[in-house]
Amino acid sequence: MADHLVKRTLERDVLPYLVSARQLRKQWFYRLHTLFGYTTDLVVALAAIGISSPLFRLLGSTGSTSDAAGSPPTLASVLASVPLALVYPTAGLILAWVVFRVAFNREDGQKRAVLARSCTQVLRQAEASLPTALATADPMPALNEMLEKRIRPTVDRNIQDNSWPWVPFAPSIDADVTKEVTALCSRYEADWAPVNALLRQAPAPENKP
Amino acid sequence: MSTPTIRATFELDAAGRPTAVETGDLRHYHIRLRVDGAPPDTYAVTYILDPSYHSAIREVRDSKAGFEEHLTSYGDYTVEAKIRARDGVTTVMVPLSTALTKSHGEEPTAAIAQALESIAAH
Repeated sequence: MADHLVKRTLERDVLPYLVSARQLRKQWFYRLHTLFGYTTDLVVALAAIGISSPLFRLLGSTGSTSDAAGSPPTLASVLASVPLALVYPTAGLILAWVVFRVAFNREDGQKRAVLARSCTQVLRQAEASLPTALATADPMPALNEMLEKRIRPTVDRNIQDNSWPWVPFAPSIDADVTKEVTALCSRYEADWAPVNALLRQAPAPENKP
Repeated sequence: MSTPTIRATFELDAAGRPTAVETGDLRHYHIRLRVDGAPPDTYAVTYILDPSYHSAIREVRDSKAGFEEHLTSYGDYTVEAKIRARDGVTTVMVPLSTALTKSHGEEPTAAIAQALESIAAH
């Protein structure tokens, strides 16, 4: 027996977008944005309670402006402030930090991460409304509206801005999608009225020419 | 760059006649939709069909097949296609009967002409 239209729509269209959206948090720009955000806030918080060092100030600076404590420290001042045994690890850390910062700025990491976060929220809200949509005899109008008004426009905008890196689904999501389809169908499928997915409904008699 | 266009063709049997499903006094013809001239970076086409379908909005992601979609219809309505590419979304629309007539040429066979008339009449 063919799958119900709602199940097919969930499997082919709705859930691949929702599951892909969760993978956005694993993207390098999203992770670096989180790391830089926490680092900056942490350094500012430590400075506020009187704990500071040139290394903290260097890691906490945004690169384009001076930090809260004044002008950014120099590499020499940072290395002079650490014990001798930690000079090379510290130099390596600073080098990696600089590379990440440059890559983040050159690849529009900030913009992409902010857009990705917003996209994730929109799709999470759509996901939250799924149970309401599925608990009806005909979930298709609600699913179509969700896809056309919330999911696809958001994903399309993020693809254009490079903050959604796939076209259009993340790889290796099939197992997660199947698992979620199975769970949703086992809970709601009994409520769904049978429909003919192939044929158009006949016009009402008064509309016939 | 050429403007994308929606192309619609009847599915034909071995004798070259349009295939259809009959329900009551309606003949639901099998039709193939596709988009010609889509930008090379198109990743999906969303067809928006008449609301009388249970699945009136269909997303197709197979670019190799020209984003082809199968449907049936007993009558005419405006088909809309959102062509979703990396650099933006282009929307094109066309009456189904116009797309079918254009695809089957100025001198269709009698069976195709009859099907075209039937579509246009409903």
